[in-house]
Amino acid sequence: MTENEFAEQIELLRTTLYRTAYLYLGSEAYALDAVDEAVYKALVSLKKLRNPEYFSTWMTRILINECKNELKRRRREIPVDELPETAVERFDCLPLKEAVLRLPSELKQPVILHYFAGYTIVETANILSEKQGTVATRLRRAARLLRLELTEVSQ
Amino acid sequence: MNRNEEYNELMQKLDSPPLKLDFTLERARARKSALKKRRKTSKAVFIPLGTLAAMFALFVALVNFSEPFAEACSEIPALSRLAEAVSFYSSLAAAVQNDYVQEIGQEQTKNGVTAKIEYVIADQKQLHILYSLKSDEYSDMDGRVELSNAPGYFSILSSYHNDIPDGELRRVVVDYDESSDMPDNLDIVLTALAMNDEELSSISNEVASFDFHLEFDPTLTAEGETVEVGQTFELDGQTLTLEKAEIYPTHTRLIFSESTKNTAWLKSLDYYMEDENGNRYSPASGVSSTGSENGYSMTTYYVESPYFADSEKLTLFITGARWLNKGEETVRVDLASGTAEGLPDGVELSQVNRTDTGYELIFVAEREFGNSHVFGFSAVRFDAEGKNNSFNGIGYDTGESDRDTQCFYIDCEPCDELWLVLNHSSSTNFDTPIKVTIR
Repeated sequence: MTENEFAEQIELLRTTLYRTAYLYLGSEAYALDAVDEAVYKALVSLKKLRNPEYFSTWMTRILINECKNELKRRRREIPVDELPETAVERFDCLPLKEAVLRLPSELKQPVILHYFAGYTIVETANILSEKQGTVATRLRRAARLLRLELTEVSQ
Repeated sequence: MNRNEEYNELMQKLDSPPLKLDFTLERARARKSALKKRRKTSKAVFIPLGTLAAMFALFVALVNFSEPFAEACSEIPALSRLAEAVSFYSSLAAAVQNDYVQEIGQEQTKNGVTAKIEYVIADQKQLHILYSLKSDEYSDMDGRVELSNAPGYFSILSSYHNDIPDGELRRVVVDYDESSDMPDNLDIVLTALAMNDEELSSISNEVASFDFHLEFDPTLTAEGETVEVGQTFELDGQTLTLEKAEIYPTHTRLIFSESTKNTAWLKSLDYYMEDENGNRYSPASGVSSTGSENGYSMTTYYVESPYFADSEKLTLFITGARWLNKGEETVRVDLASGTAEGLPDGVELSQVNRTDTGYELIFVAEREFGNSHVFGFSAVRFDAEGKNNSFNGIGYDTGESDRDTQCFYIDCEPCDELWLVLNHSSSTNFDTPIKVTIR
């Protein structure tokens, strides 16, 4: 992929990346920093991308790693197994953005990618290197916690 | 408002991202261009990831920190050039903003090359020399700075700047250790190097050599401030003490000591510093850390300086650490069988190849993409307790997203075994930074 092609792809993907980072990190400033970092790292590593057709998957993975790094610096996540029995009630009481932020990463990642960034379940599974069934199950659980009733993004 | 209405409202908000997002690619391109100017190269591809990571964080801080500074200098052409040259180093940018810079203006021309020592920014422990090279005959020039008969113990750090345009400022740093201070004057030898176009190789030829005598203004060579800290804390089950912080205009040094009961040597830290106003100071570029006398530990860490910020409170945040287990400092490589003893978990010796001058050792390690800390070796020994020798070159490849490959090139006669000194045995990232109050 040439730099010009990279520029075109980033132009198309930029808002999606920002949405993803914003919901991951909860702040406009952090999200912009994470997108800056991810785009820069992708630019200097462009030659390593062997299959340009998977650019958005590759780019999103870089972004998610940047978001994870930022989160590690800032706070600890609650593992899925540690969610209290009253988790449904607690998430329901929070504003949606806050509720998404507080989801364990196993649930937050597919929620952000599928419901907010607009990736299909197949694309979400590829980005997260998970099975489609696993992603679908986690989406259902997260939607239940968030009290979201959304139609699936079309394949 | 029900949950789905909340969702629609949030999506509408996210459809109107901030204007700054529109210039993401431009910022990335600018950073890439700056990185190329500062990258050191060896036989293969060399990326000191710790330095890069610091520079990334520094760049982000400086974009927010130096905008008014850059605007203030934009109407003055000479200062704009200097401002641009130091814009990636927040301590130096603050120094320039506070008129803490010495204009030297010494120029010489030889063999079609004009060299000019333009500015220095100095304190008792570091000297930053900003110079330029111009020539109508040579392109892709670079400079090498050496000191003549200079007292004290110091190191000189100079990145290769082959693609800095003629006449633009280049930077070299002279860093003095704890036992030595910057003298009142220095004799330097600046050698101009030019790429050999016919060979299109990475070999640079010396085309001219210049001798300069520099006298420094004592009012602009600050002694700095020492903060006695004496804070002892636990990190990964090891005990460290932040003994003191030395705050200079060009940088701050954080000096640690280790408990003798520790089971591992401290090799590196991830960290930043903050003051009471929320200003963040990133690890310094160039010199990032220095070692202790035992040869394994790195106990002095450099960070950008709050010298001009009038900060009353300073807090250190440690976000990661790397350790080298005592008694497991080296890896023995059996060159005949192609095996290695003592490698960290997840690292394997992939190949041993004979080269014209010695050996190539290829290691593969599992790694999360974007993680800036990977295994590596700092030196090679030809017997178990022998002296440390440098590698002839180090290659680094992230071709596969989940694995790292590193190649180490060693010049030596044919032999049966080698010992490689590990960079570290283990690495930890802290979910919650460890906070240490400096003052």
